[in-house]
Amino acid sequence: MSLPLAFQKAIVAELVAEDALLVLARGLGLRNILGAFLQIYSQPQNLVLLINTNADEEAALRDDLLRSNDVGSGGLYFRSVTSEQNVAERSELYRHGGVMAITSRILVMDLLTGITPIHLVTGVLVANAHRVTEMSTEAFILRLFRQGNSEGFIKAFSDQPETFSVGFATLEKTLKLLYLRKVNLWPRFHVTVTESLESHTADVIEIRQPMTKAMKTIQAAIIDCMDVCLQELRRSSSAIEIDVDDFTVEKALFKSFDVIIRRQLDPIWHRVSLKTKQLVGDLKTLRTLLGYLVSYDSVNFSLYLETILATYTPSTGSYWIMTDPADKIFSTAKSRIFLHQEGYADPDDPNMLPNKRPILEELPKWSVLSDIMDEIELDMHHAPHPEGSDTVLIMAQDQRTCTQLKRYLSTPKTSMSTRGKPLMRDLLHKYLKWKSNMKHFKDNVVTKQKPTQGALALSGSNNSGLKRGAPPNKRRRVRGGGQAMSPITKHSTSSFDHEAEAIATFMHATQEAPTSSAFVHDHELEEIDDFTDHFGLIEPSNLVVMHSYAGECDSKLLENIKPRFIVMYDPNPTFVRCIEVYKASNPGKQVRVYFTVYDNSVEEQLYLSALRREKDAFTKLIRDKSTMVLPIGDTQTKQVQDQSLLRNIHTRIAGGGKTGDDHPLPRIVVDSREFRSSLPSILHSQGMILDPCTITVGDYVLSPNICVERKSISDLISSFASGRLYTQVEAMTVHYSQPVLLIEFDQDKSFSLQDKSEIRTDISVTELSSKLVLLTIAFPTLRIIWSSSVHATVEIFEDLKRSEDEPDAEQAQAIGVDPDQEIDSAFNLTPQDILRSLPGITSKNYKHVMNNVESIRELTELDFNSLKAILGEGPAQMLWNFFQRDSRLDMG
Amino acid sequence: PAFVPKSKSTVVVKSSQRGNPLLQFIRNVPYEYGDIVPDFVVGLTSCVLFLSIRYHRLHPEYIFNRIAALGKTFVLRVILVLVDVDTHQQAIRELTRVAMLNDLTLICAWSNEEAARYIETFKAYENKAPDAIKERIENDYLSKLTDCLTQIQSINKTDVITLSSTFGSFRSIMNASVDELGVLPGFGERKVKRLLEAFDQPFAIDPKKRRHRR
Repeated sequence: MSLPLAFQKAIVAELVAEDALLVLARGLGLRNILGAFLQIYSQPQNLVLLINTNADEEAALRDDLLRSNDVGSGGLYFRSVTSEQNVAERSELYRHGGVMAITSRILVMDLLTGITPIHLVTGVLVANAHRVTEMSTEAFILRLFRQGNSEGFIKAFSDQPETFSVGFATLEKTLKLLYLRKVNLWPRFHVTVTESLESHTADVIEIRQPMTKAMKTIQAAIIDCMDVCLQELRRSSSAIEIDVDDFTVEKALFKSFDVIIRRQLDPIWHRVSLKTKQLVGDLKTLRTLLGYLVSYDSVNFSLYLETILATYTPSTGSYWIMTDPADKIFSTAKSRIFLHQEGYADPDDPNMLPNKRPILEELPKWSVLSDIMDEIELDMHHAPHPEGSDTVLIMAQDQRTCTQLKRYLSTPKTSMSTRGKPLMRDLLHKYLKWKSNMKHFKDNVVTKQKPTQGALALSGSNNSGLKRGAPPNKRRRVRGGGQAMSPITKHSTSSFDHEAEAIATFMHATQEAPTSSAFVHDHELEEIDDFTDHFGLIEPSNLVVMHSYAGECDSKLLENIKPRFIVMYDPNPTFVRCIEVYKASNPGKQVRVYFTVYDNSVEEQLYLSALRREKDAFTKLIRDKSTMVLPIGDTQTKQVQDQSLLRNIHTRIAGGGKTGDDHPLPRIVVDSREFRSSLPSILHSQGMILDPCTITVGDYVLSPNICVERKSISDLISSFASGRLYTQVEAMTVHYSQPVLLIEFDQDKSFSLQDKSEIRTDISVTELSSKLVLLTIAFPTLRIIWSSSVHATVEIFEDLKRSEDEPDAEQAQAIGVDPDQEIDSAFNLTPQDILRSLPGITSKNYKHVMNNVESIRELTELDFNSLKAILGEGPAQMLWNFFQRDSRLDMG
Repeated sequence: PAFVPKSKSTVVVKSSQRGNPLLQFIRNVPYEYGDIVPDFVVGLTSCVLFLSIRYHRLHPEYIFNRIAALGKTFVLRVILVLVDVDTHQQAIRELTRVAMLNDLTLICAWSNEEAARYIETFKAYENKAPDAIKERIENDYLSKLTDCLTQIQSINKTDVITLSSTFGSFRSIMNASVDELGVLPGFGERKVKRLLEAFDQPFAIDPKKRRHRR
C-alpha cells in the first residue's frame, strides 16, 4: 500500500515506533493506515490479531491488501475467523500465522480454552477503538492477552474523536482498557495535515439553492411539532428528576440528542411512562422527516407521511399527529402532489384521477443538477481534457437518491416538459396504486382486528375529540387551542380515508386498462440503457458515475475513478476530506467540485455543526491529553492476583493463608451466547475460571445443582411477553434441584422494578410484578437473585459456589439435549427469533423446524404437505394461512 | 394447631404484624389477623416472611429465628424484602444466600405499596393458571406480523405497514427484490440488507455440518 501524503507516512512511523491509540479526523485515510499495518504484519512469522472489525471492513482491507501486493501472497496471510470455522480449523489457522481478523466472541472463547497460542501472538490491532468500553468483549480480550503475553504490541485505531470527548475522563479510561499509555491525535487542523492538503486544492463551486415555499412551510411545521413534543416531554418528566435544559429544539435536531436523552432517562427507563417513551420515539420520527424532506421527492415524502398516519391509533398514537403544525405538514405535503379542482381532467394523462390537478413539485436541487450537467457538458466540449479522462462523479447520500437521479438525468429535456416530469408522473401512478392497496389493507387488517377502535378512527370526523375523550357537548365550550383540535382530527384521519376510497374505486375501474401499468413498467426497464445515450456531446469514453457516500471507502473510489468533475449532491464532511486527500495525492490532476446545499435548511445546519463538533472534540482531547494521569505498569493484572489472594485468605474452608494448588480457582460453566454480555468478563477479572460451551438449559452452571438463567430488565419483560421465560424455567426445574432466575439491573440505572407512582389501584396481569408472582407460584422451587449490578452478581455467585461442588462442563452440555434433535453448531439469532414468533411455531417444535429447513425463505417456499410433515396438521395450517394471507385482499 | 381462617379468600396476617405500614395498602383482597408462624399466609400452601432491610441491619439474628420457626412447612415460601436503604448491596447479598440455603424465594420491593401489591397478587392469583406468561398460540394477523418482522433490527411498526400494504402477503414480502424494497419510503440500504439477511441466513451457522448429518 502506498501512502502518498507526508502526514500519513508520519502517522504510520509514529505508531510503528511506539504503541498508542491513534485518533484521526474522519476522511483522512484511516483505512489506508490500518492497511499499511496489515501489509507489515501479514507474514507467516507473525501472528497478529485484528479485532473489532466487521465483515465489510475486513473485505475492504483484504481488497486493498491483494491489490497492493505484487506477489499476491499477502492475502494468504490475512484471514477472517468467525464462528463458521470449527475448533480444529481455527487452531490450524493460528499456527499458520499472519494477520487474523477474529470475531470477538470467538476469540474470547479461544483464549479461555487455550486454542489461541497466546505466548506466540506478536500483537493485537484494535480497530474502532471508540467502541471499547469496560463492559465490551474487546476489553476482556485485551486483558486475557496481557495476562498471557506481556511482550506483544497493542495498537488501537479510531476516527471518532467525539466519542472520547464526552463523559468523564473517557479517553483516560479507554487507554487503560487498551493497556496503552499514549494517544496520537491527528485532527484536520494538525500542521502537517494542513501543509499536505492545502498545497493543492480543488476548484470548488458552492451552490446554495433555496427550498420551495412548501418545503419551507413543512420544515417550519416539523420544527414546531418537535417543539410541542419537547414541551410535553418537559411537562411529563417534571415528576422524574431530569435535567430539562438539554431538551431544546436545536439539540433535538441532531442524532446525538437521542444519546443525551437516553442517558438521562436510562436510569429510570423501565419505569418511564409509555407517553414519555412515545415522545422520545416521536422526536426521532420527526428528525427523520426533516431528513426525508430534502432527500425524498414530494410524492414519496407524502406517502411516507401517510404510512405514519396509518400506524396511528387514538389509544397509543403519537401526540404530535393531533396538533396544528402536524396538520400543516400533512396538508402541505399533499398540496405538493395535487390540488383538488372540481371538473378538472388532465389533458396529458387519461389515467389521472378526475377532479385532481397534478402539481408534482420537483426537488429544487434537481434543476440545479441539470444546470451543472449542462455546464459540464459545455466545458467538456470546449476544452476536452488532454488525457481523455473526463469522468463525472456524482455523490449522493444513499442508493435511493442515486437511482432517482440517474432516472432524472437520463430523461431528455424538451420544450414541453422538464426532465423531472415523466419521473414524477410515474411516481404519482405508483402512489395511486399504493393508496388503493392501503385502503384494502386498512379495511381488511386494521379495522377487522379491533372493530371498535378501527371504526372509531374511521368515523373520527363526526365528533372528533378522540384523544381527549370529551363528550361532544362539552367540547364546544373549550376555547382556543382546544377548538382547533376538531378540524385536525377530521383532516388527518378521515379525509385521507375518503380520498383513499375514491382512489380505490377509481383504480379498480381503470385497473384493466393496460396503459397504466405498462407506462410505469417500461420506464423502469429502459432506465439503465438510456442513461448515457442522452449526453450527446460527451464522448462515449467519458462516464458519469453515480455513487452513495460510504465513508472511508470513498477515497478508494476517487483513486479508482479519477474524476475530473465531482458533484456533491448532498453535503458530507467526510467526503470533502476525501476530495482533499485525493487532490493532494494527485497534484497534477484538474478537479472541479460542485457542492450543492439547500439554503437555510436543517441539512446545511447539520453539515456545519458536524464539522464544528469534530473540531471541538479534538480541542478537548488535546487538552485532556496534557493533563491526563496514567499509572505506571500493569496495574490491572496485579489487582486480579491480589484479589484472588485475599479471597483465599478469608475463605474459611481454605484455612487461611494457604494458597495455590490444593484449592483450585472456582469454575463456572458459561453458555457461549453469554459472551455477548459483560458478566463473563467481570467473573474472569475476579479470578474465576470460565468453561465456555454451548448449553441448552440455563446460561451459567455454578454447580451440579445450581443453574442460572440471567435476565436484564428488558430481557425479563420481553421474555415474559413471549412466554420464553416460562419454558426456560420449566427446563431448569426439570434438570436442576436449584434453578435460579437472575434479575440483573444495570449498574448505572436505578435498582428498582417500579416506581411508587406507577402502581395502579387494581391488580393487573400486565404488570411485571404480577407475572413474577405467577412464575413463582408455578415454580415454587425457583430461586431469584436480585442483583443491582454485574459486580454484585459476581459476589453473589462467589457466595453460592462456596459450599457447592464444581460443575462439570460435559454434563451441563448434555442436559436438556434431546438426542433426536441434537444441535451442536451455533445458530443465527435473528432468523431464529423470527421463526419463533411465527404462528404455529412453539418452543416444542422450533428446533425440529431448524433441523429440517434451511432458512425463513425456505420455510415460506415449502408446499403445504411438506409443512404438514414437519409440523403436523394444525400448526402447519396456521403457518400456511399466515404466509398466504394477502392483507390487501378480502379474505372474508 | 393450624389456624383456620374465616374465609378461603382472605390473607391471614400474623397478629404481631399489626401496625405494619404496608397493611394500609392491601386493598384489593380482604385480610384478617391470626395466630400463624409466617407473617402472611397467602394461599393454601404459600406463605410470606416480611423483612425490611433497615430492620435487618439492626437485628441481623431476627430473620434466622423466623426461618428456624418456619421449619419445612409450606410449598412456596417467599421472603419479601423491603429495600428501604440506599446501601443495600451487602444485605441483599446476604439474604440471597440465606434464601438459597433455606428454600425461600426472594422478592424485592422498593416501597410499602409495592410490597403490599405482591402480597395481594399472591393471594389473588393463588389458583390462577400461568397462561399469561406461557407461550401463546393465537393472535390477530397484524400484531403477529408486526411481532414477527420487528424481530429484525431497525424494522419498526411503520415499516411493517409499508411492507404489508405494498406487497400483501408474508410470502410476497419474502419475494420482493432488493430494488423493490429499496424504493419504499423509510427503507435505506442497511434496512433492506438486514431484512434480506434475516430471511436468507441459514438458521444453523454451519449448514454443511447440519446437512451432512441429515
